[in-house]
Amino acid sequence: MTVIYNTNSTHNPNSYLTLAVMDAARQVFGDDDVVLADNRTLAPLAAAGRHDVLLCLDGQRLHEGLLRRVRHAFPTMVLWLFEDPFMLDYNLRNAALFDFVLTNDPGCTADYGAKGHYMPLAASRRFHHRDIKPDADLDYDIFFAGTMWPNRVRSLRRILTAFPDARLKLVCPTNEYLPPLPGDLARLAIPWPVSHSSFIDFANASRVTLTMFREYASHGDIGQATAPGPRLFELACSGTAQVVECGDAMQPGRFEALRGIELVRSSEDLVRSVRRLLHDPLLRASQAIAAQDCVLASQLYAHRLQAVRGITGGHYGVRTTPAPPAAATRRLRVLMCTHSTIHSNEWGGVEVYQQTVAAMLERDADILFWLRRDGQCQLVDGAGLVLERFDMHVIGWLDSLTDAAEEAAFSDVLGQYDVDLVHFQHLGHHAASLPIIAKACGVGTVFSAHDFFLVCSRYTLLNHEQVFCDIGHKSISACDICLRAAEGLPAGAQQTRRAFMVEVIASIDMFLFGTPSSEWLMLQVYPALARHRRLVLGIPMPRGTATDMKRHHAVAPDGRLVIAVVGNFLRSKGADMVMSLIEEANPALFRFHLLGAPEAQYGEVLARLDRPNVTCHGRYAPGDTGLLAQADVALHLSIWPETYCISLSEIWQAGLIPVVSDIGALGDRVQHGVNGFKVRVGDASAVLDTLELLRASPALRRTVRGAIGPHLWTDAGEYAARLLDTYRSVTATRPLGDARLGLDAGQLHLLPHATWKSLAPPRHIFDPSRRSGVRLELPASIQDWSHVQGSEVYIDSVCGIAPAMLAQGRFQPATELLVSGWSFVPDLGFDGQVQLALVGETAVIFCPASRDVRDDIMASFPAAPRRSGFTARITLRGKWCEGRYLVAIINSFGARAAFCLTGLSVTVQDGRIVDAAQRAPSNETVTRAFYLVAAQTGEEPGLVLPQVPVAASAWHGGQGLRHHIDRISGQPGGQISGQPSTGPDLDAQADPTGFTVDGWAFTPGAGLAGRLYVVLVDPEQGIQIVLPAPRELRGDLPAYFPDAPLCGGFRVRASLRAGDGWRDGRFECVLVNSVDGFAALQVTGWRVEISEGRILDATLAEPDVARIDRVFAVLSGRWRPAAPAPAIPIMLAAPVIEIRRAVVRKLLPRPDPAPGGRRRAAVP
Amino acid sequence: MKALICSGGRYESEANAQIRRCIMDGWIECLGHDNVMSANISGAAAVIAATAPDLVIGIGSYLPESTYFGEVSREARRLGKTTLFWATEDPYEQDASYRILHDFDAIFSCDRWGVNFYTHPHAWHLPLAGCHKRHYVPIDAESRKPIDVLFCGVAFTSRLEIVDDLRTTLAGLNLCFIGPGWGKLGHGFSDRRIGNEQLIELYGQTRIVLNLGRSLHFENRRHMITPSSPGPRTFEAALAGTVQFFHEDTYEIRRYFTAAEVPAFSNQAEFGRLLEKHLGDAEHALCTAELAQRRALSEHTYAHRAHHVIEMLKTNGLA
Repeated sequence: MTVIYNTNSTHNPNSYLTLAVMDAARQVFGDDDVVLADNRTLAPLAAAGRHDVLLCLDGQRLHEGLLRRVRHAFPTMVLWLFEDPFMLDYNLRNAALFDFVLTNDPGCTADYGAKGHYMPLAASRRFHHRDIKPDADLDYDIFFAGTMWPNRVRSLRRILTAFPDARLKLVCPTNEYLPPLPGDLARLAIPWPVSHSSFIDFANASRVTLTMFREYASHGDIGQATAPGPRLFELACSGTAQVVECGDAMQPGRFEALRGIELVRSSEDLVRSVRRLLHDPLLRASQAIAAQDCVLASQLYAHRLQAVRGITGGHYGVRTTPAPPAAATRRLRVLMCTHSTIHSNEWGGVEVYQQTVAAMLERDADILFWLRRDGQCQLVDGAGLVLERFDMHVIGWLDSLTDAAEEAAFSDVLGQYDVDLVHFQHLGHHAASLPIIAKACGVGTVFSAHDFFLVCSRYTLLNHEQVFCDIGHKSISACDICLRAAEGLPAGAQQTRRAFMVEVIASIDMFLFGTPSSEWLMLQVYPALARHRRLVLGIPMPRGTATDMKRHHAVAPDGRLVIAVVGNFLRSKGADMVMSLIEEANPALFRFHLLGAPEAQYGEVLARLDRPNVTCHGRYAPGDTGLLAQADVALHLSIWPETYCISLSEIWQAGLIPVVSDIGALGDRVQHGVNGFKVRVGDASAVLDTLELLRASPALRRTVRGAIGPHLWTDAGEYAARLLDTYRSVTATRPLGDARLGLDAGQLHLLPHATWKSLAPPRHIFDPSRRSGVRLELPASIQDWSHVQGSEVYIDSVCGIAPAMLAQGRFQPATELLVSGWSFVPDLGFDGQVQLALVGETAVIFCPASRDVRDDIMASFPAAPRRSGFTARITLRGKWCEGRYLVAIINSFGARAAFCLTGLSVTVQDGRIVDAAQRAPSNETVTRAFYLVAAQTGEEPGLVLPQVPVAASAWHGGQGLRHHIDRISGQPGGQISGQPSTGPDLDAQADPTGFTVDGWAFTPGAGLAGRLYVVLVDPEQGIQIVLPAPRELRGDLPAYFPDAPLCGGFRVRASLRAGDGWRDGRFECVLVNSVDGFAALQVTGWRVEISEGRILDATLAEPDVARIDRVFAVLSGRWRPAAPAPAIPIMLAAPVIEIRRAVVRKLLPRPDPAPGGRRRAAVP
Repeated sequence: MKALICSGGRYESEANAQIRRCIMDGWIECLGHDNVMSANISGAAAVIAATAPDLVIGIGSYLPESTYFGEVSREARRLGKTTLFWATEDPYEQDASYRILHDFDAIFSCDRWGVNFYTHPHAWHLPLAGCHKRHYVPIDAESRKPIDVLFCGVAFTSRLEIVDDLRTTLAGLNLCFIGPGWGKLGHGFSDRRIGNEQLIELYGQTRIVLNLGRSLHFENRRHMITPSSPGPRTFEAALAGTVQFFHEDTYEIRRYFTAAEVPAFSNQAEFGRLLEKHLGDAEHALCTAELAQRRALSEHTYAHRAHHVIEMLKTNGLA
């Protein structure tokens, strides 16, 4: 038989893989030959010895202790890894535990040596198969779902631009270790995961599904797998056409087993493949069918498991006769979990019993004790010597359900002390979960029901009126009433406790009862107990109990009846009634001997009692019953249903006649008028009457004594033998290894609940925000820059250290970047908003800062606003953000912002800020940082957009731009300037597939630079090639144009080989400036000719009105194929015509005179 | 056949209580008024002992630690009756599902994907539904609809994020967002809690109802099960005869309604298109509402669910 166990025991969104493998295993190995294990059941299954193969899945969160524990119980242990190569280091550390390591990544096979084998994941017919839909029934054109590794972001953005009109379904969750999604993607995608069934359904409902493999190292250097993951097979099974983009590490051979997929290596090929499938429904259908057929034929988990069986050669069949218990040939080691031992100051029947068992089994078993008292858990040996101490907090006597500290310590002891079984005597003082923990450790569990702890914390079942509650005949409502009255607990507390005890009971192998009544009562409350092994064994007397009482019970010379009251003198044992009897009984007729320790309140009363017919002997040693010889009769007037009552055995053995309450074990054991007498609970008069009857009737006493014999008490020898058999029957069949287990209830998939007296832990109705303030793009509201290094900025502290102190090496690594200081824009008069910009070599990270009141700054700078302070807090996790960053402060107000690079730099590594330094930046550094920041508009430089990203309502006709083209690719004699670059610096002269255009442009009167686009429009074909034009500083412009923005320049660098938007044609070069939701445009007059993917020519040619009109039609989405019709179609509505005429007039080429020519102004 | 519905633990939310009443109505519709009883869990065992129903149905949440079905199960089994639990809060609390594994002969989960994670031998999916008695409202094409967009429910993070993304599209519309957590968003948003009856009335005054999923999971850490089945409001709104836009983070909506009946959106652009189509075309909106209501009436009431339960139990030899 096979045990399947997923090591990734919690927070595992891929748990369905276990279900899929399990489903396949049932098909391959047979329903009865497979069992699914978890942390709670693995060790017990191993101990049961019916399974030869353990197949561990995933490898993440592998519980080394637990697997060490079960290692020797499974002849074959297989680890099927799902996360190689990304977790290779971790997996290698665990590989030694296994006989075979199956890795999902073929590149890792060799790392595991001879035991390593490649085993890809697969698909499941049950979870992944869907009928392929006809084209007309499909809901989406393109579907992608997956964690947004950076490579996926790049590829998806290509898809967005290539298929602007496609019906997309994008599910793009990220996590705190990944960069935030760019705005264009975030606007379209669902940012959280969908269910796995919906993932398959969406694929099934889509023409094309994208599969993109991870190219990202969360830690270490390995960023790519060398073989596909399960998605490839799952999607193939789902009935979709799949385009797979994979990195260089993945060899084509890894896909040979699967037909019907399109394998691509670049974004360009990805776009081409998708386009082909979208345009050809027949191709799409045939690909989907081929892939699905192929998966069903050879790429299901059932196929994998057949291969696993072939590789491992383990015994996968059923083993009906388990081997004999492993512990049969050696001394048992028994841990008794109890509230105290006989070495404590206070003890009673339980402690006596423990001592008795220890003595009886001293040749066969080592007995240890697990105690919790006085802020410690202790492991104690049979002699009372403390072997281990664990500091603990106080959890109360009867309150606790789970307690991770004790659970972990307890499981460590079980795993390291070779314990075979735990015999639970009592759970008072302990976490009630210990039986669950013990079972999960694989040891046997025996529970002696010395009282009714499992039924109620009032374990004697005395209710709020100190009367037996008779819960076996009542509903739990009685508990609500009792607990509220007695302890002020709300209704539901007992239900909470019971619900947990059901789990406790489920973990116990064997229950031992004293007499049938306690077993019956437990079965009434917990019917599930009927499925557990149970024994009614009684309780043996301790050694030392006189075994041969030869005394003749003649009536005392004075004619008085001598009465013994044996056992601890407690209220629950009828102390009140005994006191009443002492009061009422005629001292001339009855004499009382009290043997046993009295409860405090009775001790005081008894000490003051001046009764010649009463003798208090106090506590007596277990088995020391010599005093009983003086008595004729014994009283056992308990008011609770005792579960056995050792002292009844003792007095019987001493030849005394018992008078007992007719309740519990006393009622079970005493046969009225035969071997003793029973009275109703609390009926003192009946006791007195019975005592008088016995005093008056020597013949009756003789008769009753004659009926007393060994059949009435538990035979110690027989008990020892049966208990030993019981112990051996619950111990592990196969040996379990020594291991530090550290298990707690949470690890065993139980919801920890500290105390049953607290009904429901607080659960909030709101979930925390998932959106991080971290962005990779400038706020869309920023359309222009007012200052570069012109604002006031001062940093007070970075991660709690003043920048001036950084040079002294005082910086301590921090888990988050905390920067505070003050900043304002001179002459602005108000505070504005502050963003922290971390400027790295390649990435810029933005984080919003909160504003603080800084009266001190106002005092020093009269122009400073009141809230000039700022605090920015940012957590940076993941490889993507590792590196050194310069810290800049962006102070924005309205659509403008001021940029200021500070001297501060920080270094991020392993999710922490590991270093910070302060050094004044050079002008060059400032300029470069500014360009990097300003370029983060969310648009990828050089990537062709499908259209100008403005709303249809933005085309208000525009008012024309002031502009100049300094140079453009294809322009005769053009040279590339040496200005700082914001994109690929392509040499258009050397590379005709490169496209460059530099110049300046702005909307007159707008006062803002806005977003600029260079658009190549072929009005004959209706084609537009839209290129974002990153802004550049042009400090020379304001000298000529008072309304010119600081960043009036622009510069475009693009490659005709990148992306999918380039076409051949004769294009008008148009500038479009988007400011505040308005789009103004300018036909530059430059005409660019592209042929066969190369720039052939760029010439100045003034277009006519009709051509300009068609240019505008293309831009505004109203273009129709050219026809012999008027330049302005008459079918258009009049208002539109009016607008368009106005636009046409403004779109005529109108180069501004200055700053003219090709003269380039210096960067301010 | 007689059925007893047990629920109403001390921590039962009003939303769950409402669903319990609707489920009750569905069973009454299915079995007749005299054959269906509802009992609070605290005394349900005694009711079972006295009335011996054929089916003992536990419903609602199993998360509160004090929700203990042991006594109910004990009494039902003593009488040889069938016990079943309809988990109406799945998968948000599925880590606690071990609490109902032993007490019921069959488990029905409201979440189609989540049901796979039960280890119980008889666990099936049973989606929530609408109540003919409480939710059905005949469509009045002439009724005045002053609210453009309505949403009622707690402002879970997912919902806040969606609405945040839609804010520009929602600008200028008459909005009514009701439920804890919305008030901070300003005009048109309120923290009020309203009853189900009030909500149905509001549906009648609304042109578009938003259907947004939930991101708050109480105890769902082990398998991190992402919900797949639409919530009960989907069926309720359809029965109430209103147009609803479903935020499509699950494709399972299409098992219950076509796109013509309950249109879906995934992002602001799609939402904008739907809005334009339905706000600008009253005929189209009316047609959408009618189609959805017709579908809900014919397939998605609690009476349909009750019939399905009986069929499943009989098929599997449990009743």
